[in-house]
Amino acid sequence: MLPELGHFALLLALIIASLQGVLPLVGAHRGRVRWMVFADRAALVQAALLIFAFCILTIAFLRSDFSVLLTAMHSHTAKPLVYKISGVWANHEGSMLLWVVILAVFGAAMSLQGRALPLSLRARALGVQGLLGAGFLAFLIFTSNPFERLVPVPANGQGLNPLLQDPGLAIRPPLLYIGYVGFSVAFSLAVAALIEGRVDAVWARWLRPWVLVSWSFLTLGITIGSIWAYYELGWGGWWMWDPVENVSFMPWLAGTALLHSVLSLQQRHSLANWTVLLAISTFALSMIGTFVVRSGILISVHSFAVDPSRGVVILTLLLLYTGAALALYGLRAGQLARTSKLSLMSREGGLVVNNLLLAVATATVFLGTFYPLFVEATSGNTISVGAPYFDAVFAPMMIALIAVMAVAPMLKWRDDTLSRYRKPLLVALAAAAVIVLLTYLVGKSVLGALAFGFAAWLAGGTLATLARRSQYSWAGLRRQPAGTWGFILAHLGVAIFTAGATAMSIGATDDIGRLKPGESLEVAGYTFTMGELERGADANYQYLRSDIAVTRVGAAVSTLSSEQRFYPVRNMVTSEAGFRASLGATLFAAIGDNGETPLSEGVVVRAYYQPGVVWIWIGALLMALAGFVSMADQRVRMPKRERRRVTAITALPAQ
Amino acid sequence: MIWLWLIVLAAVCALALAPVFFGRIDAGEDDEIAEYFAQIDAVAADDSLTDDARLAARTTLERRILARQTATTSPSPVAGVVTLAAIGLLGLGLYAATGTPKLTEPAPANEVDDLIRQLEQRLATDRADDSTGWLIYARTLRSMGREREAQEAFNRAASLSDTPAPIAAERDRAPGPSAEDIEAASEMSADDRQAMIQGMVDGLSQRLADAPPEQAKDPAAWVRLIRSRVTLNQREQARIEVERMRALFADEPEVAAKILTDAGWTDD
Repeated sequence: MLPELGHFALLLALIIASLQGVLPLVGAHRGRVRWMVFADRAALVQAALLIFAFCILTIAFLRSDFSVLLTAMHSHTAKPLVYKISGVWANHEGSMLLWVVILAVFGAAMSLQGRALPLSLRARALGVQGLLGAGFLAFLIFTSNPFERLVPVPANGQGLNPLLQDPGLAIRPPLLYIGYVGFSVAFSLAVAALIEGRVDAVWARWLRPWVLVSWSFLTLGITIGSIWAYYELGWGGWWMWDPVENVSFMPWLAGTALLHSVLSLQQRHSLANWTVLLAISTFALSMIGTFVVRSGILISVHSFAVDPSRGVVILTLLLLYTGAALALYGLRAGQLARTSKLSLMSREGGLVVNNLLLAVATATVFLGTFYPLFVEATSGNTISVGAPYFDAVFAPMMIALIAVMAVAPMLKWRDDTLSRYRKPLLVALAAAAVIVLLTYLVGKSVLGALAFGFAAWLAGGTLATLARRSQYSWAGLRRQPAGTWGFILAHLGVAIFTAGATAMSIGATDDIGRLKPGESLEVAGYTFTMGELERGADANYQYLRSDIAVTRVGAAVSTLSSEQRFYPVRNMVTSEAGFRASLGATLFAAIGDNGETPLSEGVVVRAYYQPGVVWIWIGALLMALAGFVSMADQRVRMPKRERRRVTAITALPAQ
Repeated sequence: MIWLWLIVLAAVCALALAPVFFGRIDAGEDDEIAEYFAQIDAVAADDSLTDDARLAARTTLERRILARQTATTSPSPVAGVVTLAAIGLLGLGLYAATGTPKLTEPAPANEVDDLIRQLEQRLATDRADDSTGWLIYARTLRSMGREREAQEAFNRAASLSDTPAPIAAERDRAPGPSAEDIEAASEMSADDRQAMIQGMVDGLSQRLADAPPEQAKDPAAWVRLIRSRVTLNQREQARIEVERMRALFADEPEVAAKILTDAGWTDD
């Protein structure tokens, strides 16, 4: 009975979301207070209904209720509890439900936290949010109903994809969706502001916490995805420029630009056009990300919905929403806050350069990701655009960005000159030069040394900015607001990330060979010796395992337990590589695919030496942390307007 | 029954939303009115005005509030009715078109349950000495996975019978697929059979793990499980299950030891 109740809750949510999308917008236009207040109530009721529906689906998975088709296809009685729960969203319908739940929850949060907003703006923003929800709910109910039933009820389910039965991957979708869907608030507020015809510093102040939250979670989700790909796929890569990775990266790039634009708008009443356009684009890119993964248009590790009709529906929704928003922008852009003359040598100028670079970066990733599809659709030829393209176009932009990032925060908002900062800049430059020299001597790579130099330049410039703001005193340091710490941590995170990525690209080596027990491979001075081969079977897979001893100059370093698994029910092979991670170099070894060769002739082994890979994720996690730290800043908090309880006036007092 | 719950849910939503259209709305919700009230406060606090000026300003503001009040906060019955009707009628209508309410009715009475109940009644009363009755009962229990009770029933059947030997043999035989199942299995490919066997063994393991202690203390089942694991060369899993078994029979170590001997298990 519960699944039917869940289905009904979805229908009710659809109706309420549709009403939420219409009444408040008309009400704001006509000045009808009740219709505007309806937006608040409707947002809360919609969120409650969808949370209810999600709980019901979770209960179905926990109870192994195989009368629900989704449970039968994606769960199993023998699954551990944690993966029964994460199984709820490890499939198309469930993850789509999670998407609309988060959308509704953000709407409710906007309603509750936004009581200080003028009623008409809030009503319009919630109205847009309602329209978004209605579209995606309709898609969910009519093409991807999670509560579809299965009769006759099977005795057991078909289990999870073993690749998805993993803690990192279990937590990634919720984090990623909070990021993606959070930008819907920016979208709704932007469209509402366009309708009102008022985009200003006050609006930016309301917008900022929402952008921060979304950006932080998106950073976290992308980072966890990278960590997962590294240890689960075991190819030694942390970022493959895989289309699915790219489509999560694009909203991040646009979101970063948005974050910085909001700052400028809030502080200096400038970059209003940028802010609105970026708010629309970031969410549009989030929707594109959703469309791409679900339509099966690209076949990759993540494709679990290979139904083209679904893709067409999402594409239509996407074009509708983005097109309408952009059209509105085109109509109203002229009325937005006017900017005074922009001087390039200023913090503001730096932000504009930052935005331009990020926009170009987004465009290049977009081109690289979708061009092959376009070619395939029009001419039928298949071409592939891979890492070489992305690395080649992305790297120079990153370098330009880093160069600017190190200096711009130090400058005044308007009209500044570099000569004022001669001393701190020279210190940073000197530090960078030292690093370049050292790196070259150690790594013997010019490009690597230069890249490290840039990272050091960024770190130096950032710390110099902190020192200046604190007026070179401890007391000043303690007085710095959370927002400053956020920016310091984020920029340092970028520097650390750059250092790690550079170390990987110049220093990573690997070797591959067919080894019998006792034979070894040499990689970067480490000797990887294969131990005895074990064959066997465990719960639901068969395995081939070996302990690989790692030594360096005779001294034991580590033992890497490496395994290859075969899941007969799913007919899948996975590799469980053995890792030794460290702040220095990560070593790992993977037993590979033997093909037709009998085991007696040895097993294919790949051994990797990967310096600095851990720094990549430390840098990225630092950025995510920075976002959360920034939210603690008082200036970021949603302003609380005093809501006076006023009784209506019934009559005028006697004269 | 389901329709009742659906109506309740729809009603709850309607009740949550109705006050917006029909109830009292705080006048201060409207931005303009709130602004006027703020101005009244400002005027009251302004010392530079004379009392007359203050009163005049206040009256003007109050007039404006009155004018705006009726227009903006009067009840909205039409919108309210449309909204609530949409929730109720459209919601239930859409559900009727797309839902599967029949799947919420209680499952049809299990025929086997009925049979069991009848047998139990008979065996308790007039057929207490009927060996065949007990044999059928034992087989039924076994097919439901109630092996321990099945063992007792087999024993009873054997003791009441003139030829206990075949009954004892059936009792000791590993429960499993019926003759038809075995025939079907032999027609499967090696992989499918492997998967089926694996499924059976996994199922047995799960059942023993989930069952309450009284039911889980089924030595024959544990023997079967551990023996199967050894045959399938799943020592890792077997080790886990041996530990589980030992923990279960912690106060009966000799039973645990016998289980392991029967299963052909040697610690390594």
